[in-house]
Amino acid sequence: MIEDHPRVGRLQKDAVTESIVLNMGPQHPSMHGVFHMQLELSGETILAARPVIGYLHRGIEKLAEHRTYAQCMVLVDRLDYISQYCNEWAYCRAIERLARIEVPERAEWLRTMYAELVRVTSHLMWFGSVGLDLGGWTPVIYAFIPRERIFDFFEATTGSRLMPNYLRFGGVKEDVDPAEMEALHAYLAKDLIDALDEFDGLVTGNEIFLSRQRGLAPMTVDQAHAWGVTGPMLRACGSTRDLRIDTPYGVYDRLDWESCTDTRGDALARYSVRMREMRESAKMALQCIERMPAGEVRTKVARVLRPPEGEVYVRHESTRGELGFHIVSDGSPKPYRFRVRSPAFMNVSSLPHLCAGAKISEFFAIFGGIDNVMAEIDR
Amino acid sequence: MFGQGLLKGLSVTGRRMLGKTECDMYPYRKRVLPPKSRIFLSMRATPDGKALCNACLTCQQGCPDNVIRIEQDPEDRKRAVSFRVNSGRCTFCGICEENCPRHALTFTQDFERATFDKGTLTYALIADGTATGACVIVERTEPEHPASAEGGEDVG
Ligand code: SF4
Ligand code: SF4
Repeated sequence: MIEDHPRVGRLQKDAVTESIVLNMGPQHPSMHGVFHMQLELSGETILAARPVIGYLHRGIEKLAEHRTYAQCMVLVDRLDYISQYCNEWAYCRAIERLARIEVPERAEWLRTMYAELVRVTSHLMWFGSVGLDLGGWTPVIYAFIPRERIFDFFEATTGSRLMPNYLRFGGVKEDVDPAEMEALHAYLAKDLIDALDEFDGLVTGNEIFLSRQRGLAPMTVDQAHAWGVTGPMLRACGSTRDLRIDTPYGVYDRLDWESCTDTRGDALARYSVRMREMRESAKMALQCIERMPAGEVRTKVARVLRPPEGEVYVRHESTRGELGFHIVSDGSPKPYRFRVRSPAFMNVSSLPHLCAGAKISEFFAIFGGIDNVMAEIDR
Repeated sequence: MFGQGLLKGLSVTGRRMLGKTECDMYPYRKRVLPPKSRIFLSMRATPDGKALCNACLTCQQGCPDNVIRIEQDPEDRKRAVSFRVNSGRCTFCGICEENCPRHALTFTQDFERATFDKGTLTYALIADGTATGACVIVERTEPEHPASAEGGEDVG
Protein backbone atom coordinates (compact mmCIF):
# COMPACT_ATOMS: atom_id res chain seq x y z
CA MET A 1 0.00 0.00 0.00
CA ILE A 2 1.27 3.43 -0.89
CA GLU A 3 0.20 4.77 2.52
CA ASP A 4 2.69 2.50 4.24
CA HIS A 5 5.60 3.90 2.32
CA PRO A 6 7.94 5.76 4.70
CA ARG A 7 8.09 8.80 2.46
CA VAL A 8 4.35 9.30 2.45
CA GLY A 9 3.76 11.64 5.36
CA ARG A 10 0.99 11.46 7.90
CA LEU A 11 -0.85 14.22 6.14
CA GLN A 12 -1.32 12.28 2.92
CA LYS A 13 -2.25 9.14 4.79
CA ASP A 14 -5.34 10.75 6.25
CA ALA A 15 -6.12 12.83 3.21
CA VAL A 16 -9.56 12.35 1.73
CA THR A 17 -9.93 13.12 -1.93
CA GLU A 18 -13.12 14.45 -3.33
CA SER A 19 -14.92 12.04 -5.62
CA ILE A 20 -15.10 13.09 -9.24
CA VAL A 21 -17.56 12.21 -11.97
CA LEU A 22 -16.05 10.95 -15.19
CA ASN A 23 -18.15 10.73 -18.30
CA MET A 24 -17.11 7.82 -20.46
CA GLY A 25 -18.74 7.86 -23.82
CA PRO A 26 -20.95 8.22 -25.74
CA GLN A 27 -18.01 8.81 -28.05
CA HIS A 28 -15.22 7.24 -26.13
CA PRO A 29 -12.94 5.22 -28.39
CA SER A 30 -13.32 2.10 -26.27
CA MET A 31 -17.07 2.28 -25.99
CA HIS A 32 -19.21 -0.21 -27.85
CA GLY A 33 -21.52 1.96 -29.84
CA VAL A 34 -22.94 5.13 -28.39
CA PHE A 35 -23.03 4.03 -24.79
CA HIS A 36 -22.48 6.59 -22.07
CA MET A 37 -21.26 5.65 -18.63
CA GLN A 38 -21.05 8.08 -15.76
CA LEU A 39 -18.45 6.88 -13.31
CA GLU A 40 -18.09 8.33 -9.87
CA LEU A 41 -14.48 7.89 -8.92
CA SER A 42 -12.42 8.17 -5.81
CA GLY A 43 -8.93 8.19 -7.22
CA GLU A 44 -9.00 5.20 -9.51
CA THR A 45 -11.71 3.27 -7.69
CA ILE A 46 -15.22 3.28 -9.05
CA LEU A 47 -17.69 4.24 -6.33
CA ALA A 48 -20.77 4.20 -8.49
CA ALA A 49 -21.56 3.72 -12.15
CA ARG A 50 -24.60 4.95 -14.02
CA PRO A 51 -25.30 3.76 -17.56
CA VAL A 52 -26.89 6.49 -19.66
CA ILE A 53 -28.67 5.10 -22.69
CA GLY A 54 -30.90 6.40 -25.42
CA TYR A 55 -28.44 7.89 -27.90
CA LEU A 56 -29.47 5.38 -30.55
CA HIS A 57 -33.18 5.52 -29.89
CA ARG A 58 -34.99 5.27 -33.20
CA GLY A 59 -38.44 4.53 -31.86
CA ILE A 60 -38.57 1.12 -33.48
CA GLU A 61 -41.46 -0.06 -31.30
CA LYS A 62 -43.54 2.92 -32.36
CA LEU A 63 -42.47 2.76 -35.99
CA ALA A 64 -43.62 -0.85 -36.09
CA GLU A 65 -47.17 0.20 -35.25
CA HIS A 66 -47.32 2.02 -38.58
CA ARG A 67 -46.08 -0.81 -40.75
CA THR A 68 -47.54 -4.05 -41.91
CA TYR A 69 -46.30 -7.23 -40.27
CA ALA A 70 -44.07 -8.08 -43.23
CA GLN A 71 -42.57 -4.59 -43.28
CA CYS A 72 -41.73 -4.87 -39.58
CA MET A 73 -39.21 -7.58 -40.46
CA VAL A 74 -36.98 -4.83 -41.82
CA LEU A 75 -37.05 -3.10 -38.43
CA VAL A 76 -36.48 -6.32 -36.56
CA ASP A 77 -33.23 -6.80 -38.48
CA ARG A 78 -32.08 -3.47 -37.16
CA LEU A 79 -32.74 -4.22 -33.51
CA ASP A 80 -29.70 -6.30 -32.81
CA TYR A 81 -27.83 -6.05 -36.06
CA ILE A 82 -25.22 -8.54 -34.90
CA SER A 83 -27.65 -11.43 -34.51
CA GLN A 84 -30.18 -10.63 -37.22
CA TYR A 85 -31.44 -14.16 -37.87
CA CYS A 86 -32.22 -14.71 -34.19
CA ASN A 87 -34.32 -11.55 -34.12
CA GLU A 88 -36.15 -12.45 -37.30
CA TRP A 89 -36.80 -15.93 -36.07
CA ALA A 90 -38.18 -14.77 -32.74
CA TYR A 91 -40.46 -12.31 -34.50
CA CYS A 92 -41.60 -14.93 -37.01
CA ARG A 93 -42.36 -17.37 -34.21
CA ALA A 94 -44.48 -14.75 -32.50
CA ILE A 95 -46.52 -14.01 -35.60
CA GLU A 96 -46.77 -17.68 -36.55
CA ARG A 97 -48.16 -18.50 -33.13
CA LEU A 98 -50.58 -15.60 -33.35
CA ALA A 99 -51.83 -16.44 -36.85
CA ARG A 100 -51.41 -20.24 -36.47
CA ILE A 101 -49.10 -20.68 -39.43
CA GLU A 102 -47.35 -23.98 -39.99
CA VAL A 103 -43.66 -24.01 -40.88
CA PRO A 104 -42.34 -26.70 -43.25
CA GLU A 105 -39.72 -29.08 -41.91
CA ARG A 106 -36.87 -27.91 -44.11
CA ALA A 107 -37.48 -24.31 -43.18
CA GLU A 108 -37.05 -25.16 -39.50
CA TRP A 109 -33.69 -26.74 -40.26
CA LEU A 110 -32.63 -23.76 -42.33
CA ARG A 111 -33.66 -21.36 -39.59
CA THR A 112 -31.72 -23.30 -37.00
CA MET A 113 -28.68 -23.35 -39.23
CA TYR A 114 -28.76 -19.61 -39.85
CA ALA A 115 -29.37 -18.84 -36.18
CA GLU A 116 -26.38 -20.89 -35.12
CA LEU A 117 -24.19 -19.39 -37.83
CA VAL A 118 -25.12 -15.94 -36.67
CA ARG A 119 -24.34 -16.93 -33.11
CA VAL A 120 -20.83 -17.75 -34.29
CA THR A 121 -20.44 -14.41 -36.07
CA SER A 122 -21.87 -12.52 -33.12
CA HIS A 123 -19.51 -14.17 -30.67
CA LEU A 124 -16.63 -13.56 -33.06
CA MET A 125 -17.48 -9.88 -33.01
CA TRP A 126 -17.57 -10.01 -29.21
CA PHE A 127 -14.25 -11.84 -29.12
CA GLY A 128 -12.66 -9.12 -31.21
CA SER A 129 -14.04 -6.33 -29.10
CA VAL A 130 -12.93 -7.98 -25.86
CA GLY A 131 -9.43 -7.92 -27.29
CA LEU A 132 -9.82 -4.25 -28.18
CA ASP A 133 -11.15 -3.42 -24.73
CA LEU A 134 -8.10 -4.94 -23.13
CA GLY A 135 -5.76 -3.05 -25.42
CA GLY A 136 -4.94 -5.62 -28.10
CA TRP A 137 -5.60 -4.92 -31.75
CA THR A 138 -4.81 -8.39 -33.03
CA PRO A 139 -7.94 -10.34 -31.97
CA VAL A 140 -10.39 -8.04 -33.70
CA ILE A 141 -8.55 -8.28 -37.01
CA TYR A 142 -8.28 -12.05 -36.74
CA ALA A 143 -11.88 -12.50 -35.65
CA PHE A 144 -13.12 -10.71 -38.73
CA ILE A 145 -11.55 -13.24 -41.09
CA PRO A 146 -13.94 -16.14 -40.27
CA ARG A 147 -16.75 -13.65 -39.69
CA GLU A 148 -16.38 -12.29 -43.20
CA ARG A 149 -16.31 -15.78 -44.64
CA ILE A 150 -19.63 -16.62 -43.01
CA PHE A 151 -21.01 -13.27 -44.17
CA ASP A 152 -20.01 -14.21 -47.70
CA PHE A 153 -22.28 -17.21 -47.34
CA PHE A 154 -25.09 -14.99 -46.05
CA GLU A 155 -24.66 -12.63 -48.95
CA ALA A 156 -24.61 -15.34 -51.58
CA THR A 157 -27.72 -17.05 -50.21
CA THR A 158 -29.88 -14.26 -48.79
CA GLY A 159 -28.70 -11.21 -50.72
CA SER A 160 -27.31 -9.20 -47.84
CA ARG A 161 -24.46 -9.48 -45.40
CA LEU A 162 -25.99 -7.73 -42.43
CA MET A 163 -29.68 -7.04 -43.01
CA PRO A 164 -30.93 -10.21 -44.68
CA ASN A 165 -34.74 -9.92 -44.37
CA TYR A 166 -34.65 -13.63 -45.10
CA LEU A 167 -37.17 -15.28 -42.79
CA ARG A 168 -40.83 -15.17 -43.72
CA PHE A 169 -43.96 -16.05 -41.83
CA GLY A 170 -44.28 -19.74 -42.56
CA GLY A 171 -40.74 -20.45 -43.67
CA VAL A 172 -37.84 -18.69 -45.28
CA LYS A 173 -37.61 -16.58 -48.42
CA GLU A 174 -35.95 -19.15 -50.64
CA ASP A 175 -33.97 -22.34 -50.56
CA VAL A 176 -30.20 -22.39 -50.39
CA ASP A 177 -28.06 -23.40 -53.34
CA PRO A 178 -26.60 -26.87 -52.56
CA ALA A 179 -23.16 -25.81 -53.83
CA GLU A 180 -23.06 -22.94 -51.33
CA MET A 181 -24.11 -25.31 -48.59
CA GLU A 182 -21.35 -27.74 -49.49
CA ALA A 183 -18.71 -25.01 -49.47
CA LEU A 184 -19.95 -23.82 -46.09
CA HIS A 185 -19.83 -27.34 -44.73
CA ALA A 186 -16.21 -27.70 -45.77
CA TYR A 187 -15.42 -24.36 -44.18
CA LEU A 188 -17.16 -25.07 -40.88
CA ALA A 189 -15.71 -28.54 -40.55
CA LYS A 190 -12.09 -27.47 -40.86
CA ASP A 191 -11.17 -23.83 -41.31
CA LEU A 192 -13.48 -22.39 -38.68
CA ILE A 193 -12.29 -24.87 -36.08
CA ASP A 194 -8.70 -24.04 -37.01
CA ALA A 195 -9.47 -20.36 -36.59
CA LEU A 196 -11.05 -20.95 -33.17
CA ASP A 197 -8.01 -22.98 -32.12
CA GLU A 198 -5.89 -20.10 -33.28
CA PHE A 199 -7.89 -17.64 -31.14
CA ASP A 200 -7.49 -19.91 -28.16
CA GLY A 201 -3.74 -19.89 -28.74
CA LEU A 202 -3.75 -16.15 -29.17
CA VAL A 203 -5.82 -15.07 -26.17
CA THR A 204 -7.17 -17.87 -23.99
CA GLY A 205 -3.81 -18.95 -22.63
CA ASN A 206 -2.34 -15.46 -22.48
CA GLU A 207 -1.16 -14.89 -18.90
CA ILE A 208 -1.80 -11.15 -18.96
CA PHE A 209 -5.33 -11.72 -20.20
CA LEU A 210 -5.96 -14.39 -17.58
CA SER A 211 -4.71 -12.26 -14.71
CA ARG A 212 -6.91 -9.38 -15.81
CA GLN A 213 -10.04 -11.53 -16.12
CA ARG A 214 -9.80 -14.12 -13.37
CA GLY A 215 -11.97 -13.34 -10.36
CA LEU A 216 -13.09 -10.06 -11.88
CA ALA A 217 -16.66 -8.87 -11.24
CA PRO A 218 -18.09 -12.09 -9.85
CA MET A 219 -21.81 -12.68 -10.01
CA THR A 220 -23.90 -15.40 -8.38
CA VAL A 221 -26.92 -17.08 -9.92
CA ASP A 222 -29.25 -15.35 -7.46
CA GLN A 223 -27.82 -11.97 -8.32
CA ALA A 224 -28.12 -12.74 -12.02
CA HIS A 225 -31.77 -13.70 -11.62
CA ALA A 226 -32.45 -10.59 -9.55
CA TRP A 227 -30.92 -8.34 -12.21
CA GLY A 228 -32.66 -10.12 -15.08
CA VAL A 229 -29.41 -11.30 -16.65
CA THR A 230 -29.82 -14.05 -19.25
CA GLY A 231 -27.89 -15.86 -21.92
CA PRO A 232 -24.16 -16.64 -21.76
CA MET A 233 -23.75 -14.26 -18.80
CA LEU A 234 -26.24 -16.27 -16.77
CA ARG A 235 -24.80 -19.60 -17.84
CA ALA A 236 -21.38 -18.38 -16.71
CA CYS A 237 -22.67 -18.28 -13.11
CA GLY A 238 -23.55 -21.95 -13.09
CA SER A 239 -27.14 -21.79 -14.27
CA THR A 240 -28.20 -24.22 -16.97
CA ARG A 241 -30.91 -21.93 -18.29
CA ASP A 242 -31.01 -22.16 -22.06
CA LEU A 243 -34.27 -21.60 -23.87
CA ARG A 244 -33.11 -23.80 -26.72
CA ILE A 245 -33.37 -26.69 -24.24
CA ASP A 246 -36.01 -25.47 -21.82
CA THR A 247 -38.61 -24.44 -24.38
CA PRO A 248 -37.43 -26.25 -27.50
CA TYR A 249 -38.11 -24.68 -30.86
CA GLY A 250 -36.68 -25.21 -34.30
CA VAL A 251 -34.87 -28.53 -34.45
CA TYR A 252 -32.70 -28.08 -31.37
CA ASP A 253 -34.21 -31.12 -29.69
CA ARG A 254 -33.07 -33.28 -32.59
CA LEU A 255 -29.48 -32.09 -32.66
CA ASP A 256 -26.60 -33.49 -30.70
CA TRP A 257 -25.19 -30.62 -28.66
CA GLU A 258 -24.85 -29.35 -25.15
CA SER A 259 -25.38 -26.02 -23.52
CA CYS A 260 -22.13 -24.45 -22.28
CA THR A 261 -21.98 -23.48 -18.64
CA ASP A 262 -19.37 -22.45 -16.13
CA THR A 263 -19.57 -22.20 -12.37
CA ARG A 264 -17.06 -19.46 -11.64
CA GLY A 265 -19.29 -16.51 -12.45
CA ASP A 266 -16.42 -14.11 -13.13
CA ALA A 267 -15.33 -12.34 -16.29
CA LEU A 268 -13.18 -15.30 -17.29
CA ALA A 269 -16.18 -17.62 -17.02
CA ARG A 270 -18.19 -15.35 -19.33
CA TYR A 271 -15.31 -15.47 -21.77
CA SER A 272 -14.98 -19.22 -21.67
CA VAL A 273 -18.72 -19.85 -22.05
CA ARG A 274 -18.86 -17.78 -25.24
CA MET A 275 -15.71 -19.33 -26.64
CA ARG A 276 -17.15 -22.82 -26.16
CA GLU A 277 -20.54 -21.74 -27.50
CA MET A 278 -18.94 -20.88 -30.83
CA ARG A 279 -17.74 -24.46 -31.22
CA GLU A 280 -21.12 -25.86 -30.22
CA SER A 281 -22.88 -23.59 -32.68
CA ALA A 282 -20.53 -24.57 -35.49
CA LYS A 283 -21.21 -28.20 -34.60
CA MET A 284 -24.96 -27.62 -34.75
CA ALA A 285 -24.77 -25.82 -38.07
CA LEU A 286 -22.77 -28.74 -39.45
CA GLN A 287 -25.38 -31.22 -38.28
CA CYS A 288 -28.10 -29.10 -39.85
CA ILE A 289 -26.34 -29.16 -43.21
CA GLU A 290 -25.80 -32.91 -43.02
CA ARG A 291 -29.25 -33.92 -41.85
CA MET A 292 -31.51 -31.36 -43.47
CA PRO A 293 -34.38 -33.09 -45.28
CA ALA A 294 -35.47 -31.96 -48.74
CA GLY A 295 -38.81 -30.31 -49.27
CA GLU A 296 -40.73 -27.08 -49.22
CA VAL A 297 -39.26 -24.06 -47.46
CA ARG A 298 -42.28 -21.83 -47.34
CA THR A 299 -46.00 -22.15 -46.79
CA LYS A 300 -48.35 -19.83 -48.64
CA VAL A 301 -49.32 -16.88 -46.50
CA ALA A 302 -51.30 -13.83 -47.60
CA ARG A 303 -48.99 -11.02 -48.63
CA VAL A 304 -50.73 -8.64 -46.27
CA LEU A 305 -51.22 -10.69 -43.17
CA ARG A 306 -54.10 -9.99 -40.77
CA PRO A 307 -53.57 -12.10 -37.66
CA PRO A 308 -56.67 -12.64 -35.52
CA GLU A 309 -57.22 -10.40 -32.54
CA GLY A 310 -55.12 -11.37 -29.56
CA GLU A 311 -51.70 -11.11 -28.08
CA VAL A 312 -48.66 -13.31 -27.91
CA TYR A 313 -45.34 -13.38 -26.11
CA VAL A 314 -42.50 -15.47 -27.48
CA ARG A 315 -39.17 -16.09 -25.77
CA HIS A 316 -36.16 -16.88 -27.83
CA GLU A 317 -32.55 -17.67 -27.01
CA SER A 318 -30.77 -14.95 -28.92
CA THR A 319 -27.00 -14.66 -28.86
CA ARG A 320 -27.16 -12.33 -25.86
CA GLY A 321 -29.91 -14.00 -23.89
CA GLU A 322 -33.64 -14.12 -23.74
CA LEU A 323 -35.16 -12.11 -26.54
CA GLY A 324 -38.88 -11.61 -26.20
CA PHE A 325 -41.50 -10.29 -28.58
CA HIS A 326 -44.85 -9.20 -27.21
CA ILE A 327 -47.22 -8.49 -30.07
CA VAL A 328 -50.79 -7.32 -29.67
CA SER A 329 -52.99 -7.62 -32.71
CA ASP A 330 -56.34 -5.93 -33.24
CA GLY A 331 -57.02 -7.83 -36.43
CA SER A 332 -55.67 -5.11 -38.71
CA PRO A 333 -52.64 -5.52 -41.00
CA LYS A 334 -50.48 -3.55 -38.58
CA PRO A 335 -49.50 -4.51 -35.03
CA TYR A 336 -51.42 -2.67 -32.33
CA ARG A 337 -48.49 -2.92 -29.95
CA PHE A 338 -45.02 -4.17 -30.66
CA ARG A 339 -42.84 -4.64 -27.62
CA VAL A 340 -39.34 -6.08 -27.41
CA ARG A 341 -37.72 -7.57 -24.35
CA SER A 342 -34.12 -6.97 -25.12
CA PRO A 343 -31.51 -9.19 -23.47
CA ALA A 344 -28.71 -6.65 -23.84
CA PHE A 345 -30.72 -4.02 -21.97
CA MET A 346 -31.15 -6.33 -18.99
CA ASN A 347 -27.53 -7.45 -19.08
CA VAL A 348 -26.22 -3.90 -19.16
CA SER A 349 -28.36 -3.09 -16.13
CA SER A 350 -26.08 -5.33 -14.11
CA LEU A 351 -23.09 -3.16 -14.95
CA PRO A 352 -23.41 -0.71 -11.99
CA HIS A 353 -23.40 -3.64 -9.56
CA LEU A 354 -20.48 -5.34 -11.26
CA CYS A 355 -18.36 -2.20 -11.48
CA ALA A 356 -18.77 -0.89 -7.94
CA GLY A 357 -15.42 -1.13 -6.20
CA ALA A 358 -13.46 -2.02 -9.31
CA LYS A 359 -10.58 0.04 -10.69
CA ILE A 360 -11.11 2.19 -13.70
CA SER A 361 -8.76 0.04 -15.77
CA GLU A 362 -10.93 -2.95 -14.97
CA PHE A 363 -14.06 -1.25 -16.20
CA PHE A 364 -13.58 -2.18 -19.83
CA ALA A 365 -12.55 -5.69 -18.91
CA ILE A 366 -15.94 -6.05 -17.20
CA PHE A 367 -17.82 -4.20 -19.91
CA GLY A 368 -16.45 -6.42 -22.65
CA GLY A 369 -17.95 -9.50 -21.01
CA ILE A 370 -21.43 -8.03 -21.22
CA ASP A 371 -21.46 -7.95 -25.02
CA ASN A 372 -24.03 -5.24 -25.46
CA VAL A 373 -25.46 -3.90 -28.70
CA MET A 374 -26.74 -0.38 -28.35
CA ALA A 375 -29.17 -0.69 -31.23
CA GLU A 376 -31.08 -3.28 -29.28
CA ILE A 377 -30.86 -1.49 -25.93
CA ASP A 378 -32.12 1.85 -27.21
CA ARG A 379 -34.34 0.43 -29.95
CA MET B 1 5.48 -21.67 -16.71
CA PHE B 2 4.63 -18.00 -16.91
CA GLY B 3 5.03 -16.66 -20.41
CA GLN B 4 4.17 -19.86 -22.20
CA GLY B 5 0.80 -18.51 -23.29
CA LEU B 6 2.37 -15.26 -24.41
CA LEU B 7 4.89 -17.12 -26.54
CA LYS B 8 2.13 -19.22 -28.07
CA GLY B 9 0.23 -16.06 -28.96
CA LEU B 10 3.35 -14.64 -30.55
CA SER B 11 3.82 -17.75 -32.62
CA VAL B 12 0.23 -17.39 -33.88
CA THR B 13 0.84 -13.83 -35.03
CA GLY B 14 4.17 -14.85 -36.51
CA ARG B 15 2.56 -17.58 -38.57
CA ARG B 16 -0.11 -15.18 -39.79
CA MET B 17 2.48 -12.60 -40.71
CA LEU B 18 4.16 -15.05 -43.06
CA GLY B 19 0.89 -16.43 -44.38
CA LYS B 20 -1.28 -15.10 -47.16
CA THR B 21 -2.95 -11.67 -47.07
CA GLU B 22 -6.62 -11.70 -46.19
CA CYS B 23 -7.57 -8.20 -47.32
CA ASP B 24 -9.62 -7.18 -50.33
CA MET B 25 -7.39 -4.81 -52.25
CA TYR B 26 -10.19 -2.40 -53.03
CA PRO B 27 -10.22 -0.14 -55.08
CA TYR B 28 -7.34 -1.71 -56.99
CA ARG B 29 -9.19 -4.96 -57.26
CA LYS B 30 -12.96 -4.72 -57.28
CA ARG B 31 -14.96 -7.43 -55.67
CA VAL B 32 -17.57 -9.21 -57.78
CA LEU B 33 -20.69 -9.56 -55.68
CA PRO B 34 -22.89 -12.66 -55.87
CA PRO B 35 -25.90 -12.28 -58.18
CA LYS B 36 -28.32 -12.27 -55.26
CA SER B 37 -26.73 -9.21 -53.64
CA ARG B 38 -29.19 -6.41 -53.22
CA ILE B 39 -27.51 -3.12 -54.02
CA PHE B 40 -29.35 -0.64 -56.29
CA LEU B 41 -32.81 -1.18 -57.63
CA SER B 42 -33.15 -1.61 -61.35
CA MET B 43 -35.76 -2.75 -63.80
CA ARG B 44 -35.84 -5.23 -66.63
CA ALA B 45 -36.61 -3.79 -70.03
CA THR B 46 -36.76 -5.15 -73.57
CA PRO B 47 -34.15 -4.00 -76.11
CA ASP B 48 -36.67 -1.60 -77.68
CA GLY B 49 -36.93 0.38 -74.42
CA LYS B 50 -40.11 -1.13 -73.02
CA ALA B 51 -39.98 -1.73 -69.28
CA LEU B 52 -41.64 -4.92 -67.98
CA CYS B 53 -43.55 -2.96 -65.33
CA ASN B 54 -47.31 -2.73 -65.76
CA ALA B 55 -47.82 -0.09 -63.06
CA CYS B 56 -49.68 -2.34 -60.65
CA LEU B 57 -48.26 -0.32 -57.73
CA THR B 58 -47.55 -3.41 -55.61
CA CYS B 59 -43.97 -2.34 -55.04
CA GLN B 60 -44.85 1.24 -54.16
CA GLN B 61 -47.39 0.14 -51.59
CA GLY B 62 -45.28 -2.65 -50.13
CA CYS B 63 -42.12 -0.60 -49.70
CA PRO B 64 -41.55 0.19 -46.02
CA ASP B 65 -39.73 3.44 -46.75
CA ASN B 66 -41.60 5.19 -49.58
CA VAL B 67 -38.68 4.78 -51.93
CA ILE B 68 -40.67 4.18 -55.10
CA ARG B 69 -42.84 6.77 -56.83
CA ILE B 70 -44.86 5.59 -59.81
CA GLU B 71 -46.99 7.73 -62.05
CA GLN B 72 -49.62 5.83 -64.01
CA ASP B 73 -50.70 6.82 -67.46
CA PRO B 74 -54.24 8.29 -66.98
CA GLU B 75 -55.37 6.78 -70.29
CA ASP B 76 -53.82 3.36 -69.86
CA ARG B 77 -53.54 2.42 -66.20
CA LYS B 78 -51.35 -0.54 -67.09
CA ARG B 79 -48.57 1.72 -68.22
CA ALA B 80 -46.19 3.69 -66.04
CA VAL B 81 -45.26 7.16 -67.23
CA SER B 82 -42.56 7.56 -64.65
CA PHE B 83 -40.95 5.32 -62.09
CA ARG B 84 -38.60 7.06 -59.71
CA VAL B 85 -36.44 5.52 -57.01
CA ASN B 86 -35.12 7.55 -54.09
CA SER B 87 -32.28 5.20 -53.24
CA GLY B 88 -31.17 7.41 -50.34
CA ARG B 89 -34.14 6.11 -48.39
CA CYS B 90 -33.91 2.52 -49.53
CA THR B 91 -33.06 -0.12 -46.94
CA PHE B 92 -32.30 -2.76 -49.60
CA CYS B 93 -34.80 -5.09 -48.01
CA GLY B 94 -35.87 -6.69 -51.29
CA ILE B 95 -39.61 -6.67 -50.54
CA CYS B 96 -40.38 -4.82 -53.78
CA GLU B 97 -38.44 -7.26 -55.93
CA GLU B 98 -39.96 -10.28 -54.22
CA ASN B 99 -43.54 -9.11 -54.65
CA CYS B 100 -43.41 -7.79 -58.20
CA PRO B 101 -45.90 -9.96 -60.13
CA ARG B 102 -44.22 -9.16 -63.48
CA HIS B 103 -40.75 -9.94 -62.15
CA ALA B 104 -39.79 -6.56 -63.49
CA LEU B 105 -37.64 -5.39 -60.61
CA THR B 106 -34.12 -6.59 -60.03
CA PHE B 107 -31.05 -5.47 -58.14
CA THR B 108 -27.75 -4.50 -59.66
CA GLN B 109 -24.50 -5.41 -57.97
CA ASP B 110 -22.96 -2.02 -58.64
CA PHE B 111 -22.02 -0.60 -55.26
CA GLU B 112 -19.95 2.42 -56.27
CA ARG B 113 -22.50 5.18 -56.17
CA ALA B 114 -21.26 7.30 -53.28
CA THR B 115 -22.00 10.95 -53.86
CA PHE B 116 -21.66 14.36 -52.26
CA ASP B 117 -25.05 15.49 -53.52
CA LYS B 118 -27.98 13.60 -52.13
CA GLY B 119 -30.22 14.80 -54.95
CA THR B 120 -28.34 12.49 -57.31
CA LEU B 121 -29.49 9.50 -55.27
CA THR B 122 -32.94 9.78 -56.82
CA TYR B 123 -33.01 8.26 -60.27
CA ALA B 124 -35.64 7.29 -62.79
CA LEU B 125 -36.17 3.80 -64.13
CA ILE B 126 -39.00 4.90 -66.41
CA ALA B 127 -39.26 8.43 -67.72
CA ASP B 128 -41.86 9.63 -70.25
CA GLY B 129 -43.10 6.08 -70.56
CA THR B 130 -39.81 4.58 -71.74
CA ALA B 131 -37.13 2.69 -69.87
CA THR B 132 -34.08 4.76 -68.96
CA GLY B 133 -30.42 3.82 -69.06
CA ALA B 134 -30.65 2.59 -65.46
CA CYS B 135 -32.66 -0.43 -66.62
CA VAL B 136 -31.30 -3.86 -67.40
CA ILE B 137 -31.97 -5.11 -70.90
CA VAL B 138 -33.44 -8.61 -71.18
CA GLU B 139 -34.76 -10.51 -74.16
CA ARG B 140 -37.73 -12.06 -72.38
CA THR B 141 -40.98 -10.17 -72.06
CA GLU B 142 -43.16 -12.65 -70.20
CA PRO B 143 -43.08 -12.82 -66.41
CA GLU B 144 -40.77 -15.52 -65.20
CA HIS B 145 -41.98 -16.50 -61.78
CA PRO B 146 -45.71 -16.79 -61.41
CA ALA B 147 -45.20 -17.77 -57.76
CA SER B 148 -45.42 -14.24 -56.50
CA ALA B 149 -48.28 -13.33 -58.79
CA GLU B 150 -50.93 -14.66 -56.44
CA GLY B 151 -53.09 -11.95 -55.07
CA GLY B 152 -52.44 -9.76 -52.13
CA GLU B 153 -54.37 -6.79 -50.99
CA ASP B 154 -53.30 -3.23 -50.88
CA VAL B 155 -52.77 -1.25 -47.75
CA GLY B 156 -52.50 2.47 -47.73
S1 SF4 C 1 -44.66 -4.38 -58.63
FE1 SF4 C 1 -43.57 -4.67 -60.57
S2 SF4 C 1 -45.15 -4.47 -62.14
FE2 SF4 C 1 -46.02 -3.65 -60.23
S3 SF4 C 1 -45.57 -1.44 -60.33
FE3 SF4 C 1 -43.86 -2.39 -59.23
S4 SF4 C 1 -42.35 -2.81 -60.82
FE4 SF4 C 1 -44.27 -2.44 -61.86
S1 SF4 D 1 -35.56 -2.68 -51.39
FE1 SF4 D 1 -37.06 -2.30 -49.75
S2 SF4 D 1 -36.77 -0.16 -49.21
FE2 SF4 D 1 -35.75 -0.45 -51.17
S3 SF4 D 1 -37.30 0.10 -52.71
FE3 SF4 D 1 -37.48 -2.11 -52.39
S4 SF4 D 1 -39.05 -2.34 -50.82
FE4 SF4 D 1 -38.37 -0.21 -50.76
